[in-house]
Amino acid sequence: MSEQQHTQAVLLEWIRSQLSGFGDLEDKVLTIPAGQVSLLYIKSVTDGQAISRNIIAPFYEMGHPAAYYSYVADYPGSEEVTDGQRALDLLLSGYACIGREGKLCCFDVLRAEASSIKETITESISQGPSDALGESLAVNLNLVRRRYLSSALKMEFTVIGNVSKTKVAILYDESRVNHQVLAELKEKLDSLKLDILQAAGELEKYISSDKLRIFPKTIVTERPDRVVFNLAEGKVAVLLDTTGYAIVLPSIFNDFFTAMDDKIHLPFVGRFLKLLRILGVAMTLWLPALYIAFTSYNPEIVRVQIALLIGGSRATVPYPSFVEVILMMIMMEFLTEASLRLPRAIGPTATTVGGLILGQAATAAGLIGNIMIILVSVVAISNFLVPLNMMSFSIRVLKYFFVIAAAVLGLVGVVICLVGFTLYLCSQRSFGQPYFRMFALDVLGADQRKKSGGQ
Amino acid sequence: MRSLRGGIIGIILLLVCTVLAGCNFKDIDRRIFVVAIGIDPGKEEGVFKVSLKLAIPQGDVTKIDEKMLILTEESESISEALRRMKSKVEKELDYVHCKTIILGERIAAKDIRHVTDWAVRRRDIQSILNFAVGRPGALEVLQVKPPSERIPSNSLILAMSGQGTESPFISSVYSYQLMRNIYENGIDPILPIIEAQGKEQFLIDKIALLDKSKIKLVFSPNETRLFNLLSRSNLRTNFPAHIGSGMYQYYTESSSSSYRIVTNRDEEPYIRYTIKIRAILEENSTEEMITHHMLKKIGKAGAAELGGAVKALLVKIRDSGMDPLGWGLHYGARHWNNGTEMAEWGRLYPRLNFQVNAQVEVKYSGMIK
Repeated sequence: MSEQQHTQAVLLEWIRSQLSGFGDLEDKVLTIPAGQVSLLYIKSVTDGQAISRNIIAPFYEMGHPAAYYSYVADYPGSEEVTDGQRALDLLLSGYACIGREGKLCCFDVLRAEASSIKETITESISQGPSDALGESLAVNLNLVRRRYLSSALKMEFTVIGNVSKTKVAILYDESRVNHQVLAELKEKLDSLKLDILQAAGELEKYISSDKLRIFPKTIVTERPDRVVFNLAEGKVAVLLDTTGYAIVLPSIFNDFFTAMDDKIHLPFVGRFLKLLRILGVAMTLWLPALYIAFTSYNPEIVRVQIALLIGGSRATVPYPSFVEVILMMIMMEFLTEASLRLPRAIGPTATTVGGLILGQAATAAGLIGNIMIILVSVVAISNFLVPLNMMSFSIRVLKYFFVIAAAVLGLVGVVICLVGFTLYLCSQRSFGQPYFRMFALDVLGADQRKKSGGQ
Repeated sequence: MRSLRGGIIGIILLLVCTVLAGCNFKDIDRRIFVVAIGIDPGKEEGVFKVSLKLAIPQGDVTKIDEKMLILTEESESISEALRRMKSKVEKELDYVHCKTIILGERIAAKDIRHVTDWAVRRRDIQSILNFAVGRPGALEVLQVKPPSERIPSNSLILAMSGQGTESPFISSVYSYQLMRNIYENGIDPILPIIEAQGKEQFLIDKIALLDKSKIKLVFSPNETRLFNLLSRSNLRTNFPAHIGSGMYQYYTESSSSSYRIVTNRDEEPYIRYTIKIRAILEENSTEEMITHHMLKKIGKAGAAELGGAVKALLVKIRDSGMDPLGWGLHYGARHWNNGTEMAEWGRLYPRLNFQVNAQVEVKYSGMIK
């Protein structure tokens, strides 16, 4: 008995020494005539109200330390520990340590400061739910659970990051998930060695094997309904604490062009919108490259009227077409980036000034052809038709490959680039799933699922 | 180490690509587009006078201000003339947008094969440009600048391609067709004739028939229209019908023509043409009420008139000995016997008779009264 007490004292002493220098460490001994318990917690990560209500008040009301200790130990979420390191970890993650007669129990009094549920910002849709995932894992799990009332929805928790100790939840529908994918994901998460994990995108980076990839292989989304929709399709969702985004995997190319309101729209409207998106991507990828090809290599492809029009608009431009295109596109990127980073109050000023300079002055000065301005605006607008930001950024970068190819080889270069990227996309796998699977195959898959469900 | 090697290979590949670029990269503002080529005989015998119509792009597109330039050079070879003309302009001459080649009438009356061969052979001149005969000369046609035109030579392009006017008197001939018809047995080439009328107007309403190399016969505008009716479907035009002293004109909403070469042993060979027209009444010189019965009468009268005119045209074609509609090809394809079929056709052709079965159906009186 005394030995046990001794170990507890040593344990507490060790913890105290580890936490020396913590200004907000609270270290108290609660005493009543019948006995005493020691209480240890860090003020900044714990909820003071919960401590006084659930830990301190019952102690004095009960008046019996042994009964009190079993109350504490049996409380949901509590954990008895014998290992100093474990106790330290729990203390840091918002537990209070209660020690009595050689036993040490950690009691969950975490105070999580997180913003309340906000509206979606990056994936807004015109109709449908507008709640976004928040920064608290508990709230996020609540958002998902509420939309997926099935006992098959399983959650597994793990902790990543030696310093940040970020809680990570893996969600999947047991009856639909591809277990190979799940196993691969778990293996990857287990093998991660990092100190700090703060954003979903970061995790996305660590779990994909290809270091030079151009296309995102996993969806990073802020929409709980997208998470739920993908869970039902048999995908795995990874939710992180302290970040408002979830990762959905495996994801194929087509997924990145699906907005959540596609399902809400009438069939023809939905198809039209999807077609519009694909057309937008095609425009933003190819228009600058085609402009170079048409003006500098193959003017015979466009009609003579258009060729003369382009020729006229370029009459005052002093440098080759690809310089013109790259210059304008870089300017446009500056504008996009600047309006993203600038404080809200100054944002419009920058865009107005930039738009004015790009649109008017550059042509008036004869530095840029008129047609180029139209082209750049089409490229800039159509780039943002992609509903998911990750893909939108990929495409933003990708168009420069086409521009360079067109500048070097003309139309042939554009075609080579297109073929090359198609081959590249076909060779890609997202957690073992073919990345460039297209719509037709989706339908086939649905048929097969129906059949196997019927059998 | 591996990534370093990959990077080096990538850089080398990029460098190689820049070497590749050199020869072909030329900005559109360093090119000058040739929109039409005119070829006339030169002052001396056996010399070509080649004229190029160049389109100069305008800086300000909102203003209607057509700028063009015509270069002329004489040489005994067309290629040589074009090379010489390169030194007359500061930009590279670009033929990819050349849409028309005009042959001077004097060239067309002598031999067109040299020019056709050059036009089809040359790599950067498309095979779908329009060939035409220019009257009085190719240069005069090139110099025509209609006031309605914004882009040099656009009026010629629009008229010949049918994108603009849909005149029933214009028929266009692509260079590949011309080439094919020159070297194909059983079909003879035709060429539209463009007449320059002053500096601001041209007229395209005639067709020249060629016997593989030179002009043999020129159709009048009316014959041209009938020829177009036979050679293509849905010709939009009007034809007359006379009943007593009254004159009616009907507009052809749709038209089609087909023929059969009938060679029975016991009768003379003949070609039976069937022309079907659905029409709308367009003009009525009498004050008469147009009834359904009247429409039928007009249709009948129109059919008889049209049939007579077409038959006269067919006889004229036969008597000229040329075959612009490709009857011989048609016959050869159906009587193929590995050698003698075209010779048989040659014997047969002068004896051919024609039957024309014209059906005009006037559907609508044009107004409700």
